[in-house]
Amino acid sequence: MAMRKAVRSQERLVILALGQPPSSRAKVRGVVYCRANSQIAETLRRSSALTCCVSMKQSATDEVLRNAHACQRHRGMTFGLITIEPPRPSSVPGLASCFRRMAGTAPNTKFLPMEELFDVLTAPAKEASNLFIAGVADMETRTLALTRGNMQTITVPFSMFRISGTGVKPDFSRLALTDYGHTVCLGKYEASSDAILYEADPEFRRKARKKLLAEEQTFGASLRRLRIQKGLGRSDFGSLSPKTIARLERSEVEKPRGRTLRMIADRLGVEPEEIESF
Amino acid sequence: MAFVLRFPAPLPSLGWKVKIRDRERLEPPHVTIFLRRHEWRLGLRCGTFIVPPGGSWNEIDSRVRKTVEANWQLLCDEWDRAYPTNRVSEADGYGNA
Repeated sequence: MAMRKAVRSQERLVILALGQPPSSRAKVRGVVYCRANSQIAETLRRSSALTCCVSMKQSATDEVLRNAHACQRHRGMTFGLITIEPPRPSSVPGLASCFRRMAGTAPNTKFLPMEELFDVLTAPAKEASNLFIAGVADMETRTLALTRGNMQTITVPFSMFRISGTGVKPDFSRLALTDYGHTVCLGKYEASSDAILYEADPEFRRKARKKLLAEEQTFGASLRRLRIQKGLGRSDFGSLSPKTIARLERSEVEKPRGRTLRMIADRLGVEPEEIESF
Repeated sequence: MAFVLRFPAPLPSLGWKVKIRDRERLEPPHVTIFLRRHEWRLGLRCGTFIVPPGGSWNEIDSRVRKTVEANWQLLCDEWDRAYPTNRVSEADGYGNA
C-alpha cells in the first residue's frame, strides 16, 4: 500500500528546469526534479495522465512544448502545467493542447511560496482541492481568479471581500497566498480559503453541510448562516423588521414566499432558491 | 489585518499558528489553528472543534492548547472587534458547532 502511494506521488508532480538544486527544506519526497532541459523529454515520456508539471523557467516550458507531440502520441493529455515564469503568449495554445489544466499563464499570477506549493500539490487530492495555490487579480473586471490544489480555477468578484470590522480594506494589487493555501492575502487583509469556497462553490458548500451531522436543515437556520456570512444585521432588511427576521431564523413562522422571499434574497445577494443551500 | 496569537518558541518554527482573519466563514465565532497544511477551527462559544474539519486537542501540541486557553478572552475580544455583527457573546442557541 505504502509502495503504491509512493509511486502515485512520484507520478503526480514533476518540477522542470530547476537551475539550482532545491534547498533541503524545499525538497519534497516523491517529487521528480529535472535540472536540465535534456531531462525534460525523458521525464515527460515516463509521466502519467495524472502528472502535474511545475515549470520554473520559460525555457523549460518551451522544452515541454517541443516534446509535446511525442508525449501526446504516447499517452494523451497530461493533467496539469503550472508555469512559475509566464510562458511566451504564442506558446499558450500549444501548451493548452497538451495539458488539461494550466495555471500561471497570466503575467501577474501569484503563487504560494515554493515549499508550500510543492507540499499542496503532493497532498491527497481531496485535501488539495480546498487549498489555493495560485491567483490573479483582474482590475478591469474586478474579479479574482483562484486556482485550487486540484488545478480547478474559481472566479470571485472583488465585492466578496468586505471591509473588516477593524477597518482593514482589501488591496487587490497586493495579492498573495499563504498558510499552505488556507489564506488569501490582499495587502494587509486576509481571507480564509474556506470562506471563499463556501460562498463561491455550491459543491464545497454541499459537502461542508453534509459533514454537519447535527446541523439544522431549516430555512431559518440557512437564512441565519447566510445573513451572518454576508455580514448583515437583522435590521438590514429594509421594511422587514428585525423581529420578523429573528422569528424566521428561529422557524417560529413559515418560510416566506413571493415578494418577501425575493426581498430577503435580494438583500442577501442570492437567488431565493439558493438560500436553503447555505 | 489578521489577528495572530503570539506563541512562545519553538512553536512558530514548528509551523504552529493561530489566527482570526479579516474574512472568515462566520458561523460560529472561531479561531483557526494551523500546523503547516493542516487546520482546525476552534469554536469560541463552545470551545469545541468545528466540523468540518473537526478534530480534537489530542492532535494539537499541548503548548498550543495552553497558550490558546491562557488567551481565551483576548481571542474572544479580537473576534468581536473583527465581526461585531456576530459577537461571541451573542448567545442565541446556534453557537454550538
